[in-house]
Amino acid sequence: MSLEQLSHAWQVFFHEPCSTAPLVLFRILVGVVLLMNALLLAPLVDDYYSADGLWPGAVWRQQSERRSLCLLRWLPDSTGLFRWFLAVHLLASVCFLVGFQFRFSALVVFVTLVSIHHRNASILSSGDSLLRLLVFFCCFSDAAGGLSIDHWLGGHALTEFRQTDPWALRLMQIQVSIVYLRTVYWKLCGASWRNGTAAWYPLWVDAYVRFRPPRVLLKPALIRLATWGTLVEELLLGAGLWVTELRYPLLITGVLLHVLFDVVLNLQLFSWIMVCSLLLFIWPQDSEWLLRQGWLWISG
Amino acid sequence: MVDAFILVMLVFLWFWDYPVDHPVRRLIHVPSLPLAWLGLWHSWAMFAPEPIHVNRRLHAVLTLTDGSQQVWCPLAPHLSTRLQNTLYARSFKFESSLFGAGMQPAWQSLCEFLVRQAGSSGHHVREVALIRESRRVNSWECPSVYSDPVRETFFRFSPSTPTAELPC
Repeated sequence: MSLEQLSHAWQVFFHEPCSTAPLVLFRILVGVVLLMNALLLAPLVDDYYSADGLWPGAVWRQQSERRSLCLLRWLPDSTGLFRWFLAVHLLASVCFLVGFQFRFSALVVFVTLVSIHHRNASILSSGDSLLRLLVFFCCFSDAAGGLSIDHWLGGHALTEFRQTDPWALRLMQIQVSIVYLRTVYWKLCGASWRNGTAAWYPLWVDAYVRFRPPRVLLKPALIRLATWGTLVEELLLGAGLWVTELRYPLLITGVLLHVLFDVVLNLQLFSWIMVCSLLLFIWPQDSEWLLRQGWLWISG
Repeated sequence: MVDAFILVMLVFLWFWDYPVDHPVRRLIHVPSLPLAWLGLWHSWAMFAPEPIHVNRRLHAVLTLTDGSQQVWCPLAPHLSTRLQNTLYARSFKFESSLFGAGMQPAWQSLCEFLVRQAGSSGHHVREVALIRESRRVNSWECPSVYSDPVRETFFRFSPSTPTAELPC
């Protein structure tokens, strides 16, 4: 491949205009996840974010120095103020969901989300990392280019979707592939993943298990199938989603895998964040169809 | 400019998750710090390299000034409802994070939190002992799922002398 061909392929992949529909679908789904995330944080404020809780502001300030972005560092250490901060995040998430002043609301969601995460990182998981990254890329995307208040105020029909330069969408898709490929790499570093026993252990760790299958189902052959099946599926998701013929079969099995994870393991919103990110791979024309059908159903 | 940004992000997204001693990871560490500062740090080692093998529970024994003792336990996943487990999944994460490295400041905060709670009920605390109970999950070949529980006191705190912490 010559440099000219490489440059052309780059241009086509990152910059050839396409419909905003996949981004719009993603905006709506992630908006719902952001709202749920904020609502789930609300009952934890006294314990994990208050001035006299389990991780008081004074201790956090002492420990964190200035290694991370956190607007709370410049605000007085007050539980009431944190509640207001969370309320701002919630309001920005609503604006994000309905696509009102989208770029600004996405930026506010990102900065407040990062600030909340950096205020107490000991209660975070990989799902939170992915959520931050995806919201960051949303700030650069045209995810309000359909079914949004901004779009409607601009004089467009709600179910008409703009064409956009899709580089932010492509980065999000690449990010999703990287998550699967890297997690397979890390898992292959562990003996229990290689010998097929890894799926056994989380089922007996109270902090993770939500539903423990009956003992009769926990046969070695099935545990091995679950362990190696997870590895194969994650590897296929990481690489195969880019293959046209494999995309939809893998999307279906990927969504099922994460639903299964959510039934068996207590990972809070992790599975739903992963499902949202997988849906970024729905083809634009199919995203448009889904959104139009959804809008028809909602508007009666 | 956009293409340069895309390129920088691709390098960061792919290599930040490499082992910290990997040459490329070391090479990109300093240039990537602004992105990490911005909150784009990440790790995709989920349930890996090894899934957690140990059930760890935290207990705190509060010795009151009258010599009596109270035991405090955080919400237990196996004793609470599914809804509570979903709502408080982050609490379970905090409990497991407490046993990690570099969490000593949180141990003292927890003790102070418990002293305040006891104080609001009119109790005066002389000492708080944080105890870790660990039960290892055995492989499926063992007749019993769990090994025998191991209890160890890993931190003591006296409210009268807050600096006299004694990590065990």
